[in-house]
Amino acid sequence: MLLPAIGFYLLSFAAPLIIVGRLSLFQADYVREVYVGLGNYAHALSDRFFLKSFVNAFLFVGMIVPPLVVVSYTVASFLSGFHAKVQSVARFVLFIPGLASGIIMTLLWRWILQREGLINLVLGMAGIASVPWLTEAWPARVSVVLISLVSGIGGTVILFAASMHALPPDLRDAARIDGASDRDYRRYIVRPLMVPTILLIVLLNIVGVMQLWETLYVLWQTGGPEGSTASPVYEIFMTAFLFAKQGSAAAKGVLLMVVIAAILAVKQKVEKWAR
Amino acid sequence: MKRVALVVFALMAVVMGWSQTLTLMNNGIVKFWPGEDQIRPYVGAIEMIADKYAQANKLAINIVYRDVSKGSLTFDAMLAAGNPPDVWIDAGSYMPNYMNDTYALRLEEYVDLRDYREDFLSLWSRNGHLYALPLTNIATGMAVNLSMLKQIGYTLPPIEQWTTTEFLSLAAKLKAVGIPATMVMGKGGQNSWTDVWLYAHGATMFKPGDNTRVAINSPQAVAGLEFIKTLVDRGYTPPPLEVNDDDGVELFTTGKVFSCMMQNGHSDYWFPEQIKQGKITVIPEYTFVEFPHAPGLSHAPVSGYQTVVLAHKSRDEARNKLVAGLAAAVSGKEAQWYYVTITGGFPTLKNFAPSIGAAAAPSYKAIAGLASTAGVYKEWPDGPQFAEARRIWYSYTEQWLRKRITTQQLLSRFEADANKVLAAAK
Repeated sequence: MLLPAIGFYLLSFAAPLIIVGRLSLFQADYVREVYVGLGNYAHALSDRFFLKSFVNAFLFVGMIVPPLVVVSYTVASFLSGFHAKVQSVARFVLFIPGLASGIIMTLLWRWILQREGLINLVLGMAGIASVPWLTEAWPARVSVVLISLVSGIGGTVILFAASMHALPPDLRDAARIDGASDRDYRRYIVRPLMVPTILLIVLLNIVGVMQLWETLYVLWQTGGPEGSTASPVYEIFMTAFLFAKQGSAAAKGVLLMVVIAAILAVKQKVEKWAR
Repeated sequence: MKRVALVVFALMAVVMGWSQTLTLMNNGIVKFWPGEDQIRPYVGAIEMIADKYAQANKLAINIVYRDVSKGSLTFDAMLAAGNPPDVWIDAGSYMPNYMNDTYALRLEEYVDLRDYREDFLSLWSRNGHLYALPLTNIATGMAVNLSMLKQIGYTLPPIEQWTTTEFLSLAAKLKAVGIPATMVMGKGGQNSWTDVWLYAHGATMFKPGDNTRVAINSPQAVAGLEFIKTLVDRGYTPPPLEVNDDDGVELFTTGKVFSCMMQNGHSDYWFPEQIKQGKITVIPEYTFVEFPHAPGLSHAPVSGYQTVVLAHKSRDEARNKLVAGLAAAVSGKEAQWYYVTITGGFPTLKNFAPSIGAAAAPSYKAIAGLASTAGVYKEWPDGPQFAEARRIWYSYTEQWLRKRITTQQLLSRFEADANKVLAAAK
């Protein structure tokens, strides 16, 4: 019974990991392979573009994940007070941006964010100077945050809503009998019960943000103004496919995996502590 | 009957034993251009010429198509597998690694070169030997809006007076009527279309014939960069950090800027397109000129590149002769005629200037002579190591345009970092 699952695991995870791990020890392009030991790792750790991509990724994590989780939780909590049909329509509407192809959505955003785009047009009508959303470092980062929030909230709301929906209804009844208001119920009963879900969603979003790529590449093929929107995955892509350094890209991939694994370990600790 | 069959078999054996198969790697097909009555239609001009050569020499020629637009690694893979093409047609910037006696034939020993222009042959010669035949040249120029010059009552001076100093004076006059003089393109870093000003001051990214290390850190580059800074600081350009080469073409062909580097193909396509899109109502008078050169120099070279033909050397001298012959055939007058009249490339042969098809366009004629009088440069060779080094250039020039680093810091830091990358790639 377990064989298909083990086979799938080996094929889809273990084998690529072993191949990438091996490749990371070689100086390799499409043609040649020369063993260099940990040379690719040393090079990656001294590569200013790669290091900056991690700074960018952590900034994005800090700028995207907290508002995404807070807003999504608040929306899901707010919606839970409505009739099931209203909840369902609202969730669908929120999820629409997440349904569209990322590339199409990003192209749309590029049009909205460009110098003569929709946002600057609206700002202009309000007498506010236009913002260089795509050509200055911090506005560019804010653009990424905006895009990520709009496209990510729908899915996160659905996860929170599903988790809230799964809470036993007798909890609410018991709380009411004990004299708790709706607000008390949400604050003292729902929120603690939602902590594992919140932590899971935080983790999923951290991993997702660390691996941002599509949006950044479509908006800026060059890594953005002053390299402010280059992510680790963008750097890995450039290293592998533009600079033809497959081994170095593999080492960078392994390093990214280690960082994500470290985040996962921290999450586990926090989860234990929260319990 | 048996005798006839034996004779036929014997003849076949002789032909098979004598004939060879050559491989020609082409980077594209020069296709029939519909609607031009004066042009002989043929789908695949190079294929036709190769076929003629094969028939004349009783050869089989295997033509393969490979996209090496991300570098020459496809070719390297073929080389590593032991089956590199005998003749390789492609952008010349892929070729420098193979322009040596280990790989390439010394073509001057096999091909009559009297018809080729010496300036192009010299670009593809190393240590006195010619390792690639220039098939066609793609050149850029400074597209200038003559209607705007009329507006301010200015006439372009003769080339010796067309200096950067003169250009600053013209830029001031244009600014007075609200027209940016030119484009400094710095979005995502300063690109080759702006780096032309460095060449206009005598700087070069690499020393001629040596692509192993960049050599841009020079007083000439400092002068070129300071000139660019002057253009920006005095407001003679649109904001450089918000525009790239696409924006340059767009702004020039919508009449919003006086000049911009481009190819004649850009203007020929985009002016009518802008009319269709309602952005302009009439195509302004325009032409292509050399970029202004620094005082003390006589010309600013134009950015351009050649498609060249490389011939692979083997130990079989008879085969070498056939390979060189094929290389000459696919880069000769007939091949160039198709390239010139169909794709609008510029010929590399002396006294050869077809003027029908694509070559009949006024913009083609305006730009045709620039490469020969001003010289041609290609800033960056193609290949992964150069892509990596170029990214460093973009990064530092962007910082420089944002005034985060000085001109000297830009040059010294870039040179150190880029040469590390190039040295590691050796």
